[in-house]
This record gives sequence, C-alpha cells and structure tokens, in this order.
Amino acid sequence: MNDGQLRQRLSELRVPLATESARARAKHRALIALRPGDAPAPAVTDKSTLWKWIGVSAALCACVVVLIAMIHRPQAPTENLVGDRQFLRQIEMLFPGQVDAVVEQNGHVDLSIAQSSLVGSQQPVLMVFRKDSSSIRVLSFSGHRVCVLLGKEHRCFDVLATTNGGVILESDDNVWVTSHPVIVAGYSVQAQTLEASL
Amino acid sequence: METVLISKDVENRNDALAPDHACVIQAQAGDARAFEVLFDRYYDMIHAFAYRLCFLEAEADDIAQETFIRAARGIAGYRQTASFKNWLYRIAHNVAVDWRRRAVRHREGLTEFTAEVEARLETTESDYDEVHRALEDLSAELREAVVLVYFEGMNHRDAAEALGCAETTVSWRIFRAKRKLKKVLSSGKEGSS
Repeated sequence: MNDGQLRQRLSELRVPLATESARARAKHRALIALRPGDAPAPAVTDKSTLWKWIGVSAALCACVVVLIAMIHRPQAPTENLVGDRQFLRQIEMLFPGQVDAVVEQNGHVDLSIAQSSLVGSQQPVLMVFRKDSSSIRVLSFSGHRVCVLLGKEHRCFDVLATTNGGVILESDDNVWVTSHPVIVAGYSVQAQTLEASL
Repeated sequence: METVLISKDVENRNDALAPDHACVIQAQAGDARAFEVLFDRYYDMIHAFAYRLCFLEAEADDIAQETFIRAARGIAGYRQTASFKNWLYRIAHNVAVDWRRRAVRHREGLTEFTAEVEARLETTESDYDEVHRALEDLSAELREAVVLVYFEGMNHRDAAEALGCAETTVSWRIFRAKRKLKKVLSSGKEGSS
C-alpha cells in the first residue's frame, strides 16, 4: 500500500455532523464566556506589512541570484549547505507546498513538483549518492518519499529527519541510519538535515 | 445594541466573509457577533477533529464546546502569532488531553467509556468500518498527528504548532502511524478479498 492508497482509505472515514442542539449549546456557553479584552489587540501596522513586502521582494531577488548560481555551478558538487537550504526554500516559495525534491545530477538540476499541494514537513534534508566520479544530490524534506535512479536501479526512500540532525532512509526492504555512510546499489549515501547548517 | 459593536470591517464584508484577523480583533474587544462568526466558521472543523480523536459523539460535543469556551476566555490574550485556526486546534488538543487524563484518572469512567465503545462496536458492527478501527488502534499521540495531517490537511510544522511539539516529533509520529495503518489496512484488505 502506498501513500496515495493510504490517503484514499483514510478518506473513507465517516464523521457524524454535530447536532444543532449541541452546536447551539456550545455557542451559547462560549458567548457567555466571552469577555471584553483587557489587553489591546495587536495591531498589524502598515509598517510591518511594508517590511513583509520588502522581505518577500528580497527573497525573490535572492531566489533569482541563487538560481543563476546553481546554473553556473561547477560540475563537482559543493558542500554549500547554507546555499542548498536557501535554494530549496526559494524553490519552495515558487511552488508553495508542491516541491517534492530537487535532484542535481552531473550538473543538471531536476525539480520534482507535485501536481497538488503536498502535506509534509518543512525540514529540509540533503542526500548525496556517490559512485566513482558520479554523484547525485537530492534536496527534499523530512517525511517525503524520494525516488532516484542509481545506475540502472530505480530506488525509493522515505526520508525522515531525527532530532539530533541525522536522517533515516527507509526503502521497501531496508532501513538506514545515515550518521555513517551506507552503500545502496553500489552508491555510497550520505544524508543530513539542513536545519543545522545555519 | 449588539450590532453597534460590530466593526465596519466585519459588517461591510458580510460577516461570513470577514477574515479571521478582523473578527479576532473585534472579538478581543468583546464583540459577540464577531466571535459568533469565528464559531460558525470553525465549530464543525473542531467537532470533527474531536470526534476523530475519541470516536464518541457525546465526547466530541463536549470537547468542541469546551474548546470554544476556552477560546472565548482566552481570545483577549491571543496575539495572532499563530493562525486562529491553529490556535483553536491547540486548545482542542489541550482539551482532548485533559479529557484523556480524566478518563485514565477515574478508572470507573474509563471502564464506562470502554464499555460504551464496545457497545457501539457491537451495535454498529456492519457499518463500523475498517479505517475507523485502524485509527482507534493507534495511540492517542499518533492518532492526533494523523488527524491533523491527513484529515485537516496541515503540514508537519502547523501540526507541531497545534500539538505543542517539535516538527520532527510530528514527522516521526506520522512515519510510525503510516507504517501501522498500512500494515493493518493492507492485511484487512487481503483478508476481506
């Protein structure tokens, strides 16, 4: 059973609607409990809105810069984790909730974008698969399922960040804790969360 | 007199369409109509959340009611750092935790509760579906995470905010819950076919 099938099965759960009497009773009691505020409501000023817009604009500019940097990046993978994290965040801003993974292989960058908004973690994770001179870098999020072509083998992993910054990869038949390099289909695999890189 | 208290913002936009932010500010000033708008907007959502946690209609009624009572009492101090929806979920989560604690503390109550669930199982066995049972077999923590992420459509960060735990914790709970659910639902499907 895959995630889609599980989601489908869960959607079968029936939930009874609240009765009108329960709703009316709850509303009545809640309104009785409502007290006029003794603290002033936080005001969202035009100034804060302006700063938000400045922030968004700056982020978009940074996105363009990082995209250009990614395109002109040398073939050999770098370990610029902060850059990776920012890059992933900026892609996420362009496709909110839809980024499944960013895969970089031999200098080419592929985006895996879901058709609909994904529900998942916002904890970014970097995986690097290496074999001889070739390497595949995958940027994704904890809780996502990532599929890569390792040589001729198509392998999928559930990626899960641990509390100490490590990563667990789970395939259909194995579980790896990547605090130490592991070998999958002849590729050495290293993975880490990007939260700790800032 | 009450309508005088309604802000032009809420009033002009037609109550049902006023954004949460505007309603919250008015409710914080004691505007009952604005709070009513929020109540109408979110009551069914919170009730469904409560039901998915306990699978008992009467308890879901109580949890939803207590959630809105606490929200009404606490709205003056709500600073809008989290979305109003997530804030409500957080309250509902706390109410549900209290409800579970009470059930455990009062053994008799727990027995009654269990008996009620069992009675429901017997009487509605035919339409008491497999998904229902699979969710009920999950621990409270796992079920809460599943309900927020799968049924309420939250991402892990929002769910963590609602549950008052780390995002990693939610990811772990979802991971563990998925494994259990897939195992149970897959075997059930094979068994039934």
